[in-house]
Parts: sequence; C-alpha cells; structure tokens
Amino acid sequence: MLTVQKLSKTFSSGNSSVHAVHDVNFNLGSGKLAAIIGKSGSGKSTLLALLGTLDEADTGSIQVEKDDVTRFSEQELLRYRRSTIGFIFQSYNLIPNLSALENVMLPMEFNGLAGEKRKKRAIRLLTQVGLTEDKIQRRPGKLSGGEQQRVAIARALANTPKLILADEPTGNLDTQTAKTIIHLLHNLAKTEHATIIIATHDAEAAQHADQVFRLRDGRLAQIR
Amino acid sequence: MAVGTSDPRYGGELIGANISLSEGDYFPQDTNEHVAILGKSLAEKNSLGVGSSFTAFTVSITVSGIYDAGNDFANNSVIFPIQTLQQLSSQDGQVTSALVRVDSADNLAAASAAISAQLGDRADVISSEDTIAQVIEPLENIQTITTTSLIGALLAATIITLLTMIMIVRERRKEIAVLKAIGASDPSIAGQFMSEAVMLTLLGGVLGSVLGFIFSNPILSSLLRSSSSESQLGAGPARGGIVQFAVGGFRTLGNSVQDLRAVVDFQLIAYGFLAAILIAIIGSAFPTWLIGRVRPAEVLRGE
Ligand SMILES: Nc1ncnc2c1ncn2[C@@H]1O[C@H](COP(=O)(O)OP(=O)(O)O)[C@@H](O)[C@H]1O
Ligand SMILES: [Mg+2]
Repeated sequence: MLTVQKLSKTFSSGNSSVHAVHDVNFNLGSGKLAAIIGKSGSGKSTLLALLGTLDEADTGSIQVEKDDVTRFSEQELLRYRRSTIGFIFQSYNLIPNLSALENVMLPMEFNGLAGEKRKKRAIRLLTQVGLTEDKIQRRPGKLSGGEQQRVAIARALANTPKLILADEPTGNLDTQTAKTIIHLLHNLAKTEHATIIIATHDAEAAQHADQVFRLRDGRLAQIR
Repeated sequence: MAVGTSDPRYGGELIGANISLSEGDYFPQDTNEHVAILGKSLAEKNSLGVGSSFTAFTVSITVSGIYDAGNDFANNSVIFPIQTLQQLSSQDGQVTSALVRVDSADNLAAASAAISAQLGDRADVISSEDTIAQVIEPLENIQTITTTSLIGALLAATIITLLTMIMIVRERRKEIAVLKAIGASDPSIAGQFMSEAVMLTLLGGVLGSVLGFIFSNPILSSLLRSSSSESQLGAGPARGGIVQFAVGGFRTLGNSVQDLRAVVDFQLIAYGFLAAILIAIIGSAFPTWLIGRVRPAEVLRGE
C-alpha cells in the first residue's frame, strides 16, 4: 500500500545543515499499524510531514497505491490531503472556535459532502471513538486532553482515509489515557482498513504495532 | 448711546442688536415728535416707565416704549425718531446710515450696485452678501475640516485593517496550518478570513454611523463655536436681504449662525459603507497572500 524509496530531506540554515530524513526506505501493507520510534529531533515529524505532503522531499519517492505523491500537482495534493490521509497531532490541533461535531464535519465540508450526511457521519464517528453524546456540542476548550484526541481521531477518519499519520498522539496524555488511545488506533486499523503510522518516542506505544521502526538521525531501520 | 431712526422697528440695527419691545409701543415712522424708546437697563437706572419723560437737548422727551435687546450696550441706549434727533442736535438732513431692505436675495447685488452708483464715494455700501460670505466662511472651514478628517479616517482605517489582518494571520498561524494540513485550499481559508474582516468592518460601519448620528450635532456646534471665534465671526442678519450703507460707520454685527443643524446624509452613509467594504477587501488581499505563505508543515513544529 505504501512504498517509500530513498527519501531525503535536508534543512540548511546559513552554513549548517541537518539531514532530518536521510535515505529512508520502507514498505507497509494495507490495514497495518506501524510505529516509528525515535528520540526528539530524530526526524519523526519531518518524515510524517513528507508522507502527508505537508512538506516537499529533496529526493526519493512515496508510492501510495498507484500514485507517487511527490509528483502531485497542487490540485492532486489538495485531494490527497483531504481524502487519502488523516492527520493526528500531539497537541490535537482542533479548531478552537468550532464544536467537536463541527471539527469532525470540517474535512467533509472540504470534500463537498452534503450537510445532512456530514452531520450523521460525524456523530457516528464521534460515537465510534468513544466521545459521549453530551460532549459533541462542546468546544475543544471544554474537553479533556483524551477527549480532544478522540475528536481529533474522528476528524482524521472523516473522509475514510487509507493512511493515518499520528505524530506523538499520546505525548500530552497520562499513561492510562495513552493506552486507551493506542488501543483505539489499533482497532481502527482493523475496522477501517486503514494503514496507521504512529511516530513516538515512547516504546510502550509501539507494543501493539504490526511493524516497528527505529529512526536515528534521519536514518530508518526496521526492528520488528 | 443715542441714535435716530426713521423706523424704530429696525432701530436695533444701529446699535447692533435685535430689539423687541417689552413695554409700550414703537413711535410712528417718520415722526418728529419728542418721543423715544429706551433700553431696559437705561430705563431702570433712571426709573423711567412708558409715558414718563426725561430731558434731553433741553427739551422733555416722552418714553413711548421700553425694549430688551439682550445685551448691556444696547439696553443702555436710547432710540429717537431721526427727524427729532436731527432737529434737536442741529444736524438737519444728516444721516450716518440707511438701511435698505431688498425684496429678494436675488436682487441684492443689483440693488447694492445701483445704490453705490447713486451715492458714489459719499458712502460705503455694505450688502449682506459680504456678511453672508462672513457667515459662510467658517462653514466652509468646517467642511474642509470634516473632509480632511474623513480622508484621514479612511486612511487610518485602511492601515488599521491591514495591521489587524497581519496580526490575526500571525496569531492564527497554527490554525491556518491545521486547515491546510486537513485539506483546506488557500482561497477557502482566505475567504473565511475575508468574511470575518467584512463582518468586522460592517460592524464598525454600523457603530460609526450610529455614533455619528448621535454626536454629529454636538460636534457641529462645537466646531462652529471654535471656528467662528477664530475668525471673529460677527454676522449680520442674513434674513431677507439688506443693504446698509454707512458714512464712516462702524457696525457691531449680531450673531446669526446659531441655528444650524447637522443633517445626516444617507447617501454619504452608503458611500461610507462602500468604502468600508472596499477597505476590507483591499485589507484582505494582503493577508490572502500571507495565508498562502504559511507552510502546512508548521502544524508539526514544536510537537
Ligand atoms: N523547518 C525546519 N528548519 C530547520 N530545521 C528543522 C526544521 N524542521 C526540523 N528541523 C530539524 O530536523 C531535525 C528533525 O526534526 P523533527 O522531524 O522535528 O524531529 P522529531 O519530530 O523526531 O523530534 C531536527 O534537528 C530539527 O531541528
Ligand atoms: Mg516531532
């Protein structure tokens, strides 16, 4: 489903340069949960940004099903970000002045889904990720961290993505909540037939993963 | 001060005031009787009432009426029939000024020119055109002040809108990056911000109009006050049309610009709104460009 080859990204400022992602190669099948473990600064976020087309690679290719996303036009990039991938962030990144429900409906709106269908699907997704009904009209500020991350996961699922990219999804959560979130992602990979990549510095979050990679100074190695 | 007039109803013009009788009657026009009308203060000081008499130029003068002119100087004056005064002061046939009332303001210039031609340089001819000009001048000043402040306000509004938009884009950089990361197009984000900007400016427009509606008259009158004291405005009565010619005369002119009203011009408000929307659009073009420059990868920074 996902084939990454010779992927590199270097940041340079002045006369110093950082190889944030350095000649990365890997393969992932459909519906698999993969974990990328690495210390802070090892290049996890940069790798996910490249996979999610939030940033451009210097060299290499990213094959998602039949397409090389590094060759996409602006229009194709928009469609890819809307419907092929879903992003989950460490700090949730919900839109603060929208309710939980509206946050989940937003990507469907970008995708042109009709209003009534949006609402129905958003409510179903929020229920699926375990947000209780009394909370779906609340704004993110009135929800706990774990609840916000559930909303963010529902938002990532909005347009039935094939690939979900989660950057430190449990980084701001306590151990118990982190466990339930990882468990949720693990289940979603199965029920939604989505490929999920979790980037984390926490080895425990990788326990349930089908494949585990280690990232060190931008270089990736598979350890399981 | 003692003055003589052929028509006591306009006697006030001679002493720079509008007089109104509080007691008694005006003496008849073109009389040479020994009568007079007295200012209120003068009458009080000398314990004079209607019908009582006093001595001037060694003859006894009967008080026919008492007037109130609203100011001390005029209220301490006495107005005689001009023939009486000419005879008593041995200045037969002499006048210092004559008042000509023109039927319409349209004929003012022509009448004034005709009188000038008749009298040559024996008298100065002052028409109320001059005084109207004196009245208009401070008003024109006010118009200039308001026009410049309007342009200034528009400029300031544009700059403030621009800066506010820059600030909003800066403050909501992360939110913009998130929207991009989940598939929003630049124009749709810009459109969202633009509609917020238009709403904000419209709100400002409504608020501004309401405040303008409430405060325009107080502001106008304070502008008028300051502007007329600056130019030493004393304006002659601009009612009909008056040509006065005076021989070496000096006239204190009564203040007649007290009764102006600010009119709220709805066309002007419409223009204001148009300008506000224009400012919002111009003020959004730049942020649209700014929004385009926010990299979606910024959403992952600091994670
Ligand atoms: N926009 C950028 N400009 C310059 N350096 C960057 C930028 N983004 C990341 N880096 C550098 O690349 C390296 C990897 O960063 P990152 O991918 O954020 O690592 P991680 O997510 O594992 O903490 C770090 O050394 C970081 O300083
Ligand atoms: Mg990171």
